[in-house]
Amino acid sequence: MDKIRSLIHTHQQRSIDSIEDEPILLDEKNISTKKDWEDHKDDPEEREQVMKGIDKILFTGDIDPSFKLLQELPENETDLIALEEKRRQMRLQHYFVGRKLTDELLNKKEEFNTELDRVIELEQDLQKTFAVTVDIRFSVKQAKLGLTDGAITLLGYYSQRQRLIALLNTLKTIKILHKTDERLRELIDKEDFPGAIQLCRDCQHAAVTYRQYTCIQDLNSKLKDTAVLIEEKLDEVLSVMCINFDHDRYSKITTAYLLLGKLQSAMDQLHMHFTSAIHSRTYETVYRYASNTSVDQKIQYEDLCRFVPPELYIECLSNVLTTLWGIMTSYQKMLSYHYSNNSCDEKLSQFDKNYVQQKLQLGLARIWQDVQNKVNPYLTSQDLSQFQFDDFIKVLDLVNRLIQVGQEFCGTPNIPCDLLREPLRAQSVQYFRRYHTSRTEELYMFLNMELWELLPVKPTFTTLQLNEFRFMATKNNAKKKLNEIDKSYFSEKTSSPFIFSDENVMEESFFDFQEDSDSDVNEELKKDFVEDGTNENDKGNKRKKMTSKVTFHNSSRDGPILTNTTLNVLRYIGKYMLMMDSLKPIAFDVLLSMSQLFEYYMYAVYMFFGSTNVESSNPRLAQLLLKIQSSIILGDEPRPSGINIPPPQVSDLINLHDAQNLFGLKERLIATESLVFLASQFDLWKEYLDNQIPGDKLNFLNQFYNQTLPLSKELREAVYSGVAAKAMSYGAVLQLMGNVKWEIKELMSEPNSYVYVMLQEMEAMQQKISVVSTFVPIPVEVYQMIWSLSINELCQVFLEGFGSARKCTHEGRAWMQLDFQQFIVQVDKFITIKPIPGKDVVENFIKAYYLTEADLEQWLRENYMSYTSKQLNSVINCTTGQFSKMMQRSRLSGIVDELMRKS
Amino acid sequence: MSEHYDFLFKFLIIGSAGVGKSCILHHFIENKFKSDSSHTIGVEFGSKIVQVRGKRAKLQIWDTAGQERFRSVTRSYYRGAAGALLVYDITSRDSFNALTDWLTDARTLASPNIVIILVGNKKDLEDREVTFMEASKFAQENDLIFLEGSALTGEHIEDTFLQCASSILSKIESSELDPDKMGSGIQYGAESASSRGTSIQRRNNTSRSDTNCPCS
Ligand SMILES: Nc1nc2c(ncn2[C@@H]2O[C@H](COP(=O)(O)OP(=O)(O)OP(=O)(O)O)[C@@H](O)[C@H]2O)c(=O)[nH]1
Ligand SMILES: [Mg+2]
Repeated sequence: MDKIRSLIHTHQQRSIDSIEDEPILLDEKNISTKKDWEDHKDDPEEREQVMKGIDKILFTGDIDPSFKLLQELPENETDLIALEEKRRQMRLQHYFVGRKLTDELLNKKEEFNTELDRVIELEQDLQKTFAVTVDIRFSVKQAKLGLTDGAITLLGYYSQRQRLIALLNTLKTIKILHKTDERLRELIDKEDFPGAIQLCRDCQHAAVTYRQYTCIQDLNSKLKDTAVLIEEKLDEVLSVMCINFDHDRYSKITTAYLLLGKLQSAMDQLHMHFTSAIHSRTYETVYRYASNTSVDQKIQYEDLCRFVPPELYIECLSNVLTTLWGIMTSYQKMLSYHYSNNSCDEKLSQFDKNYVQQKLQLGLARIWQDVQNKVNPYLTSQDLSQFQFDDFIKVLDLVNRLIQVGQEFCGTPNIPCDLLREPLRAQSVQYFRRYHTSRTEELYMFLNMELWELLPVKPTFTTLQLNEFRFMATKNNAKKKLNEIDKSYFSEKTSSPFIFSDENVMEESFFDFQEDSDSDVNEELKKDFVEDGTNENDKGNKRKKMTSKVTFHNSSRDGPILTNTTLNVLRYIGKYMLMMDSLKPIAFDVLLSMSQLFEYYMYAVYMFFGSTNVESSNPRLAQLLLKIQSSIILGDEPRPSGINIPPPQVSDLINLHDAQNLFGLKERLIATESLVFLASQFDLWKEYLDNQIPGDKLNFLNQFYNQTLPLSKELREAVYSGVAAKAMSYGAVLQLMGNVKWEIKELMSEPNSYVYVMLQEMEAMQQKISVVSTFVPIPVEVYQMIWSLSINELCQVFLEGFGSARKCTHEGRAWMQLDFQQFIVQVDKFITIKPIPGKDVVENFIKAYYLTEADLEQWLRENYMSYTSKQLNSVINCTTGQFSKMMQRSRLSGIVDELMRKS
Repeated sequence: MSEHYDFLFKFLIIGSAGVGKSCILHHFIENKFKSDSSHTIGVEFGSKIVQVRGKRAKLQIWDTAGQERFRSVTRSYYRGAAGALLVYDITSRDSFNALTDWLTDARTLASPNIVIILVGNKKDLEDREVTFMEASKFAQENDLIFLEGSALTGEHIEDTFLQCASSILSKIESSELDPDKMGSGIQYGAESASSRGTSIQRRNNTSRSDTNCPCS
């Protein structure tokens, strides 16, 4: 820049110079040359050329061009022309440069002017500045002279004051910071964790600002402690939430965790909290019950359970389950808290929300597992087989209820519960085995005590009235023993589902029907009494007219025929069926045992009252009895597994040998009919049992119903045939018949006297039956059976008597027919039954007498089975007597022998 | 089974209907009041092992129906009873008046040496109709042990059974009773070393009888 300026400056001067010089040059020396450069003035090419030829050095400012040129001249230059030429050239150069400069100057004139203006302006500004400075200098000088030292000190103090005020503020803040610790603790105590955390944070921020102060460092560490304390407290409250969930408190701590950014890790910790809650609470509960026995403080839970006194076992279990249920309820509430929309959730990111929900969902199964793990040792800790039935059922009810609770807890019925079911099953098996054994022992005793008296129950009596069967009549009430739960085990107002409510049981017993009793039917009782009186008179009157009136059993007037033992078997069965419901896994064992009770009763009735020839008369029954004997009756060697019931012993007061009471007809009748009644009661339970028994065992059930129960009716014959076989003096009649001479020549119009003896015997039997019927109304079927069997016996007597005749005439045969006819007519007096049993066999026998020899052979072959060989031979003898041919006689006898051998 | 015992006594509970016989038995066995008791039909049964005079006695107890219509059935259970609880209701004069009949039945139908304990039940009730004194006098005249108690509160319930059993046992010891005699209502238990129940049960059983047995 300076260069250009100097250049301009030189040029200006030069141009001024040249204006002065040039005319001389031009005028003096070379006018012609003027033409030279004038000619060339418009030739830009030449101008370019010339400009190029200029020695660059000439443009440098710090040398004198003229001097320079002179220096360059050769030392002894003389050549003027060359010199002139050089001069001319220089002039030309000068001209062009001048021209160019002029051009340039002209071009920049405008800029130059403005620049110049600005320079002038600047000059003016400088002058003003100068004036101000001078003024200021003067003022300073004045001030210096005017101010004192005191003023300066004052200024110093003032600035110090300002600084101290600032410090005071800081200190005040620090003081507040220190105070906040107290406030923090207050907040923590109030469980306002979000507030505490926020405050703690603010504090920490502030502390950073004042970190240069030593006291702040203390504060810092204190705050750190507080932060730790907050987390500890949070943890504490979280663990309380496991036991006793509280919406507000939980909401505070989740917000707090969220503030801390630790919600996820808190959720990870949650399961641990629940597990330890489950552990500690269960332990505490059990400890409370076991502690009155001197129990070691550090005893293992599993061992602790063993020390719960048996009488407190149920109460303790109920409390343990209630505790566990409380924890599960807390869990559920927590879960539903996170599923509902609430203030805290709004702050939760979707990710967090999902995380928490998922975590809690996964936790369900684990909590359930923990619960099971706690209940299992308790269930296995003691042998429950000594428990009363009701108490044992309570244990089962409680555990089954727990499984229901678990199912709702996990939201699916398919939850693992083997840890509960298996000990239940094992305990049930053990309990039931023992229970059944005791019952069979009792049944043995009852049967041994039983005098086969009719138990006088009301006509309206039904099995379902027994307390033991109440559960069937009101099936739903069976569960009422435990607190009734409406919908959910986890809803807001649900009380523990593991508490037994006594009131319910009482209510039921008071408002439901009572067991067969007198108290509730006082009116009826009076009526009964009056009726009984008139009945007695009626009976007396009738007896005078018709000596042998039998009172038949009328189910609407008379109660069922049962004994005290029957009733107790029914009670057992009721309990067994209730057990089936509670002991589902061993329902079949229970059914099997139940069938054993029936079988034992049946076996006893047969053993006490049955006839010995059941093998031939009823093979199926014989087979069943044999099966019973080999499966449940204690033999010479006890069965190592399975039940061993001692053979039933009939009371020694039972006398079955007295013809006067028809060989214990009353006892026989009550026994067999009570068995039939017992069997009939199973119809009431079929549907129930069908539902209780697993499908693969239904075969057994059906077999029991189709093959065992119906045989109880068939037992009647086996029992009453014992009566019929001895009911009348058959021997005496036979003897009378043996005295009859059948070889008569004239037709008789009167039957033989033995027939009247027979009728007397029948009358006597009827009389005895009627006496029995005053004690026990006789079922018509039974009456008919006794009579059929007896008539059959009488027919056999006829056969035997007729078959004993060695000789017989046509007239004798007719007499036989007359006798028999008389008998048949009399039978109708006692019993209307068609066909009369044995009648055909006798008539057939009599008619055979009239057959030809050939027909007789045919007859023998067809009918031999109904007769003895003695009787058949008698037919042969008597008929062939007319033919009097030894040959024929012995041939037919041979056939008889052959037939008899075959059979 | 695991329930070992030294003696087996056959017991009987008799008395008019509604005096609380079943409740007494229930309380003895289950240790609680049977709130839903209804009239007994026929005869029911219960059993329990007790500790008396250092011996384990199994009591087989027949609880009979008090209602008249069951007499024919219940009578058959008297036979061979070693002990009987004759129960009346202290709030029912009728039940007290009926005692003579019951006593006659028991003495004629059961074994002649039967030990009978007179029990005045429902002691918890206020409206007493039978005084302790007159019942006491009746007991003395008829050679009965006498206690008043309540199946509701359980007062003296266990004692009645224990005293009865204890009296029988002492008669056996003094050879006044011969267990081997037919119809004595007494049997010897199976001879087996004590292998009974768990330790807890044993402890409880002994503690209970130790504290409550009034006759040791
Ligand atoms: N307050 C009170 N009531 C009792 C007591 N014992 C029994 N009861 C009540 O008396 C009534 C009859 O009791 P049960 O035990 O059934 O009488 P029971 O002697 O067996 O009667 P039967 O079987 O008919 O001979 C019931 O309502 C019982 O609640 C007692 O000690 N105190
Ligand atoms: Mg009763």
